[in-house]
Amino acid sequence: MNSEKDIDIQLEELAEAVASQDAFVKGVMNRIEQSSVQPRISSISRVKTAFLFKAGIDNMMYAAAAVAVLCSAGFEILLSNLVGANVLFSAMAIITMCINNFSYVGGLIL
Amino acid sequence: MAVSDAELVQEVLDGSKDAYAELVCRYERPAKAAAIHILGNYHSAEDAAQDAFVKAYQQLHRLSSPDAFGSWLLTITRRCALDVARKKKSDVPLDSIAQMPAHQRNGHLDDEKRQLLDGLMRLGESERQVLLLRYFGGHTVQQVADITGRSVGTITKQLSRAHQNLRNRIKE
Repeated sequence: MNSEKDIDIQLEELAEAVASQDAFVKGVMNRIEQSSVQPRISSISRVKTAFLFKAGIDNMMYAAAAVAVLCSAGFEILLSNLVGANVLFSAMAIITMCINNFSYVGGLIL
Repeated sequence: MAVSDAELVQEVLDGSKDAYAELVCRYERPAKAAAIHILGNYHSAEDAAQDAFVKAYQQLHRLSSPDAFGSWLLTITRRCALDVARKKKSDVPLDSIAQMPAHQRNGHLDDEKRQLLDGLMRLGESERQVLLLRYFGGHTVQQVADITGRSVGTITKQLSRAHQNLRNRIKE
């Protein structure tokens, strides 16, 4: 018992004395199958997963809304310039479009 | 790469029985060793270890830290082994087993192995776990690292320290 190797060998011999059996695993699994008491399925992880999934969808919707607003704002500015409308008209058109888009996307989310 | 205990526990909680069978395979011999340490008898230890695995499965949702499955299971195993010992009070007293001739010790460890097992079970939790996984589980250092979620360097150091502490305990 003086060297590391001795301990190593003795531990291996001790481990060999504790045999592993297929029957043991089967026995445990059979008892588990027959048992009426089961572990509670992880509701926390499921809720968390569902929340993250929903959050992912929400984020995508918000991103889509932002892109839609920016696109329509750009289109409005371009249109205003083309028809020679004044700045006030352009600003009002943009605000109206923003409200419309957010309402539309908000409706989709809800 | 070996799947960590924490991942297997999560799979079991998600409804996978195969994942639990994997945990049983992984900890069968460590659990039996822990039970033999208390009961001194291989056959009784096997019953206690089986009880422990069933109880651990039923209470798995109570395990707050899934990566601590190994040490939690060994705690349950020791409790089950003590229950078995209490029930078998009328059996041959454990102290008398050491006095038996070798041919009468069917299912019992010899003195040298009992002493080694005693030293092993008295080690600190993390050192005991790496030794049990390495020798009784038959895992490589890399696999022990994967299972416990520690680095290979940490496992190597813990194994070396465990060997040293075990040697000191046996000398005492």
